[in-house]
Amino acid sequence: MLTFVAPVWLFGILLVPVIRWLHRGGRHLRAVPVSRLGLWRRAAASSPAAGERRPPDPAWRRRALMTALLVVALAGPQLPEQRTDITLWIDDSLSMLTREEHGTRFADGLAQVRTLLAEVPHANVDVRTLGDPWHSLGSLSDANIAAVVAGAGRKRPSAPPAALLLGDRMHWLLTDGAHAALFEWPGGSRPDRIVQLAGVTRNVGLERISARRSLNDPERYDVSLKVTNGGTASETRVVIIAADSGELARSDLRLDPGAFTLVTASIPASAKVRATLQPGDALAEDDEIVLDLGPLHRRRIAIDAKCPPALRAAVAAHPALAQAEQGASDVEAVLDCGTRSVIGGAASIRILANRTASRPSGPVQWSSAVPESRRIRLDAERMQVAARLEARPGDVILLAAGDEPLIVSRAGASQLLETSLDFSSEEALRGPEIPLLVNLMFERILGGPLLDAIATVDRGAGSARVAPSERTGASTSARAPTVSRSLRDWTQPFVIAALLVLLWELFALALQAYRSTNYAGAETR
Amino acid sequence: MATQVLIRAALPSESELQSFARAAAQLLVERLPHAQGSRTVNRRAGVGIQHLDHRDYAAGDEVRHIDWRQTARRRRPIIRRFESESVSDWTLVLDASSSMAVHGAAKWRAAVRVGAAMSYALLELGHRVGLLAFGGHVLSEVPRGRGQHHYAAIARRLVELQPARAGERSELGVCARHLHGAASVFAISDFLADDEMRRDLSALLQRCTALHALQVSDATETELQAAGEFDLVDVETGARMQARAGEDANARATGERAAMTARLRSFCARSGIAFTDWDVAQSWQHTLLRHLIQARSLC
Repeated sequence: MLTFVAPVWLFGILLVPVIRWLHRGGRHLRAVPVSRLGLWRRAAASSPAAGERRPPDPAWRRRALMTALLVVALAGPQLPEQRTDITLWIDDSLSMLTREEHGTRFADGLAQVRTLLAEVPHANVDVRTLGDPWHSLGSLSDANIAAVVAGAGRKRPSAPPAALLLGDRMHWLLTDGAHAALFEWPGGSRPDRIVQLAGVTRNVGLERISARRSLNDPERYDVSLKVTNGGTASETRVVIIAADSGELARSDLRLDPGAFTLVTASIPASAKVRATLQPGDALAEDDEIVLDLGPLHRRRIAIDAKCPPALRAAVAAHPALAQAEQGASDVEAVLDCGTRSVIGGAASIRILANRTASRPSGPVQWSSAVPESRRIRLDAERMQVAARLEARPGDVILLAAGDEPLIVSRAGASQLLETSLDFSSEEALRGPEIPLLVNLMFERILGGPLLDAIATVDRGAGSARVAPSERTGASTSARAPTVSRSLRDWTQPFVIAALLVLLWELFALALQAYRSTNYAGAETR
Repeated sequence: MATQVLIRAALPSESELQSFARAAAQLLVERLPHAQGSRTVNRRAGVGIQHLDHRDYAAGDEVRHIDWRQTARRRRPIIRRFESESVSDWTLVLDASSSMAVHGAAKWRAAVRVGAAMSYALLELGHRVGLLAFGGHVLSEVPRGRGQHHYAAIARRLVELQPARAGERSELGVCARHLHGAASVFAISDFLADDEMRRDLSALLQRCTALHALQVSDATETELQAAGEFDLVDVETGARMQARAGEDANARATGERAAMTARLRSFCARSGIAFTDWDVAQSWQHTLLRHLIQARSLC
C-alpha cells in the first residue's frame, strides 16, 4: 500500500479545483483582429445574458495533473517491497584461481552461488571481497566478477569487519577454505551460508622473491626465493631462475606438506629476474614470479674533472653509484666542483671553493632536517671550509658550524645541494667522513636510500596453500533466508511524470502561439 | 505635373492622375456642389485673362493659347493657362484609424490613392487643397495650398502616413476645429463607429460649404477565413468577444455592414451630403467619377 513520508503535502491536491475554477472562462481562443466588433455581434459564440455556461479551458486538466503529480512527489510516496538483502563475501586470495575439474574455484563457486540465489525470492545482492571489504562492488554482474578475478591475490584477505556485518542482511561466504583466519568473524558471528570449493589439495608455490646488491661485487645481485608446499602431499619441483639474458640458475627441490625452503642465487645485474617452478600444478599463478630489479641499478653520476681525488674515490667506491663517461647526458646526478655545467633536470651537488681553506668558526652540528640515524659523526679538527655559504629563503641547512652553513639544500625546481667543505685537505683523507658525506648528499638529492636497497615481491605467507583448513571442514551452514520488507521511494517517478506533463504543456503553448502568429500573419497579408 | 519617384509606387501613376483629372475637370468646374455661404476664390485655372502657369499642349486645347516662345525653348507645344474667374478651397479628410489597417490595410491604401487623385485633380483646376488625417485626434495636417509643388507636399505626406495597427480610434469630429474659412470637405473613411459617424458628419457640415463622404469598405473584413471559435478583437478599442466563425457568421457580419451603410446613406441624403459606398475591389476612377456625377445631381 502506498505510504507517504510527508502526507501533509497531500493537502495540495485541493489546488486542483482551484485550477479548474481559474480556467472557468473557457478555452483560450485564437485572437483575430477585426475592424469593428459590432459587425460580429450576432455571431457571438455564446450570450452571457442567456446564462449559458461555457466549459472550462481543457488545458486545466493538464495543469491540474502536473500539480497533482508534484504534490504527490513532495509528499514522498513509498511502496512496500519484499526483498532479501544478501552480502556476498568473496575470498579473493590467490588460491581461488586454482583450477578444479571444470574451472577455477572462482568460476565453480560463482555458478553455485547463482544457483542458490535463484532459490531466494527478491534477492538483492551486494558483492564485497575479503581483500577490500569496505569497497562495495554492487550486484553480481559479470563485470564485477571479472574485476574480482583480476585482483585476486593482490591484497591479503581477512575476516569482514564487524561494522559491515549488519543483522538485517544475510551474509554469504564464497571461499575455498584454505585460510582458516577467514572464518574467524568478529563477535562470534558466522556466515549464513558458506559456499566452499576445494577439490585440489596439491600445490607448490613461489611465495616471495627478493634481491639485493652483492656485497662483494656491485655488478651482481644476490637473489633469495621462498618456495612453499601448500598442499597435503610431498612434492618435487625444479626452480629455474632466469633473466633477460637467459637461464641463470636451476635447483631441484623436495618439499614436505606445509614446508618451505629458501633458494639463493647470485646473478649478474639485469633489469628483471624471473623464477619458475617446474612442473606446473593446478595453481599456475604462483608457479612463476617476476622481480623488477630497476631499483637496484647503479645511479649514473657525472663528475667534474676538477673534483678532488678523495671525492672521485668515494663515488667510485659507492656500490650504488657509477661514474658516467665524460660528456654523457643521461646522468641522474652531477657532482660539480666549479667547471661542470649543469645538465638540464639532473640533480646536482656543487662543491664550492673560492678561498683559502680554514677551520670552521664554531662547533659542527647537524640540522633537524637530517634524521638522527643518518647523522655522521664529524671530527671538527680534521675539517676545513673553503668557501662562504649564504642561506637564502626556502633553503634547508643540513650542516652548520656555528652560524656558518656548511651544507645547504637549495630551494628550487631541481635538486641542488651546495657545500663549502674542503674535500682536498689531507686531514680529511684520513677518516671515513668523505665517503659517508658523499653517500648522505647523494641520498639527499636522489630522494632515497642508496645503500642496502632490497627489491622484493611477497605474495604473503600461506599464499601457496590450497587445501582447506581442518577447522573449516564442518562450517557449511545455511540459515533460512529472511525476507525483509523495505519501502521503495517513488518520488523520482512522480517528478519525472510531472516534468513530462510540463513538457506537454510547453509544447501545447508553443503550438498555440505558432497558430496565433500564423493566423495573424494571414489576416494582415 | 512631376511627382517624386519615391512616392510613385504607393500612389496612382502620373498618367492615371492626369487622365482622371481631365475626366473630372468638367465635373469639378462646371457645377461644383456648393452650399449657402460659398465664396469665390481667385487663381483657378480656366477661362480668364490673368496668366497662371504653363502646361503641355493636349488635343482639344485652344491653339491661340499656345505660348510660342516656351514652345521654342522646350521644343514641344506648351500652352498658357489663365486664372479662372472662380475657384474654391477644399479639405481632404482622411481616416487613419486602426480599422483602416486591418486585412492588409487594403482600405488604407485605397483611401490614399483616392485622396491623391482628388487632390491632384483639384489642384490641376487651381483650387486650394488641404489635408487632414484623423484617428482619435488629428494625426497630420497639410495646410491648404495650390500648384504642382503643393501636390508633391500632399503626396509625400500621404506616403508617410501609416495607420496604427491597434488602438487608434475613429473620431471624425475632431477635424471640425481645424476647418477654417469656407471650404468643401471630402471625407474618406470606413465610417465604422457606433453611429456611423453621423454626429461627426453633422459637426463637419456646419463648418464647410459642401461635404462629400466616401465610405471605403472591404468585403474581406466581414469574412473570417477559418471556421471554429475565435476571440475577436476590436483593433480600435481592444474589446474582445468570442465568436463562432463560419459562413453563417460571415453572412451576418455582411448584413450588419450593409445595414450600417444604409443608415449612413439615408442620413447623408437627408443632410445634403454627397455619399458613395466604395468597395476597394472596384476601380477608384469609376467610383470617384460616379461620386462626382451624383454630387452634381445632388447640388
